[in-house]
Amino acid sequence: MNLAFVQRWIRFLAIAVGMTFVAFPLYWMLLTALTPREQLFRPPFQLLRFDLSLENIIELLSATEFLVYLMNSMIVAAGAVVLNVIAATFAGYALSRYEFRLKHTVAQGTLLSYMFPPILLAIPLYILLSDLGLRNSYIGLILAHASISLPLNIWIMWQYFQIVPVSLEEAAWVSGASKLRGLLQVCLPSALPGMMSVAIFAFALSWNDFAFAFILQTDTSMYTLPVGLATFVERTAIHWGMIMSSSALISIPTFAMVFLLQRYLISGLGIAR
Amino acid sequence: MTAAVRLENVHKVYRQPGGEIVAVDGVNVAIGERELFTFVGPSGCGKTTTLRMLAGLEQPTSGRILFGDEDVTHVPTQKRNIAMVFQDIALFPYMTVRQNIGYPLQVARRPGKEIAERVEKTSELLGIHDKLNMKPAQLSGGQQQRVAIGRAIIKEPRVLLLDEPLSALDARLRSEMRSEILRLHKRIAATIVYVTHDQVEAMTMSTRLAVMDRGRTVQVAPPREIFSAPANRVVATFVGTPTMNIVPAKVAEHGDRPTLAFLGAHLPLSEADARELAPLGTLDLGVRPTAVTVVAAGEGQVRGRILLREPLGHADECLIETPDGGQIKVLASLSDDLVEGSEVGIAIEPEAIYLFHPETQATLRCGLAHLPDRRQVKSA
Repeated sequence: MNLAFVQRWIRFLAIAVGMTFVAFPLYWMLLTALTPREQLFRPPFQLLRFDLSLENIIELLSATEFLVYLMNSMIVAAGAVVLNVIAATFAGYALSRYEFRLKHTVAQGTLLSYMFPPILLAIPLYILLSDLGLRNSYIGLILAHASISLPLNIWIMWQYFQIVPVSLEEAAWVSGASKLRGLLQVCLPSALPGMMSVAIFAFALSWNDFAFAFILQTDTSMYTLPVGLATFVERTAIHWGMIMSSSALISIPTFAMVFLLQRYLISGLGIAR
Repeated sequence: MTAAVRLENVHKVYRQPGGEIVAVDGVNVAIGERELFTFVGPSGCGKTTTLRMLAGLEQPTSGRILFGDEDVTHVPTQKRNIAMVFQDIALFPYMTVRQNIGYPLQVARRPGKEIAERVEKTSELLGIHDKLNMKPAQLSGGQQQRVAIGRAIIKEPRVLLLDEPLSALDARLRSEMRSEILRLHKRIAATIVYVTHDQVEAMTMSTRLAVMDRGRTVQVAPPREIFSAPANRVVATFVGTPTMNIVPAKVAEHGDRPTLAFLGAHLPLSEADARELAPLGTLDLGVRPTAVTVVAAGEGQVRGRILLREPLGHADECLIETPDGGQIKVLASLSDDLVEGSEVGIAIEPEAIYLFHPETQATLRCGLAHLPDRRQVKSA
């Protein structure tokens, strides 16, 4: 029993406690999702339950607009990802390769939007998009989501392109390739991890956004999942079973994405230091 | 005859917030077909900027660049039909060697069979045939550079540009690759423009060199001429290993004859020379370490004492101190009994003496003879 041994075990315990705080709500959410409604409020509230049923999930899919919300979320998220990847890649490339006046002003200005909480920006954005006729539309919401995720994504791609030596592109140009071709064939493969991080970040932000979706989408048929989830909290009843089961389903795509592509995300965040 | 490549009064000025930087200051050079032409000079002299302007990677602030009869000053890089090998090799990391070499042909949309055939031939020529399916990271520096050269020559460019291609390699590899490049030069029909700061590379490989200093070409001539008839002190001290000795010299009366006084010795001077050189005061005298002989004390023109003796195997590099407090470096074969502290004599042929103007540094004399006919430096 020496000091190193004790230190290791104390560290282990500290991590275990932290993990419990993080993992327990997720576990409870899953558990509740699979518990039939009658048993939800009946004690004992066991930690381990074995009579699980899928009735919450079935009810969710059949009796609510969940599938509509799912489709809306998927469309908006896909749009946000595509817009982010394309715009951030070109912007990051321009910032890394060109010198122009006000370059640093532009770069730092993009971070201005992070000074405000999204809910603060949502109302002005509502007015702006209404004037453009984009209220309650897919495009409007995609643009709103992009406005939040794009600045950081631009910085990530900027850093990634700085790693690619210009001489690689020059070698391509001298070989007869146009600038665009040089960018696509030579730069992009090296910057691909960056683009993956951009995609993951843009997806997560769009998929989980509540503030913008809530304010901008006025029609229930255009609601995304987080907003739809909020409708399960009514004045007279709180449908816990539905809330938990939809939460569980909503968290699956992001969880899967981050889990499978985590190394891109880690390198992406590290690069944008 | 039309030059293969011509730079006409090319300037490149960079505008910075603090002021202007003149990188290239009026370069005028005509390069002939199939020459191996080198721009050489110390770091910052403008040679790489000049090469990049030939490639189209930089635009001249003023002046023209011509390939043959065609003014290519404003033609984009992609359309100039050139090839370039970069200092940092710049191979595409995610492509195989085969794809790297074939890249220019792929961009030009040549048929697949043609590309495969030419890649085979080029890789055989460069001795990397067995590496075709590997990625650049798996190759050594020398092999990577060969791949880069292969990528450049595969499209049979009319002008091949090389930007310090050997500086990333170790010494032994460098001399190997030097012969490779010379061998290639004989095989392919391209005009080669080479940039290096290594004067040995420049001297051994080039048909002609342009020595550059602070944005200007100081002298453009074949290596032999650069070595034996340098246009000024910068060129004279830049080429040749070890570096040329530079010591102060003055015209002085000795006995009642005009002489050139340096290193405590007096060399007879013709009347004409004395008249011309005396008003200049103290001149810079240059003599190469390889151009003097060490003789017994009392013989030769200069007396001295060996300060340092470094055996190099085939010869010794000696630092010899002269009575006037000066020092001169000598590369010669010495007998073993001459050690540090020995008194020796130094014999200098008058032909081996260079005189440089104290202010302009221009070469005033390439070799001194106390006979009326003397050689003068040819201008660039």
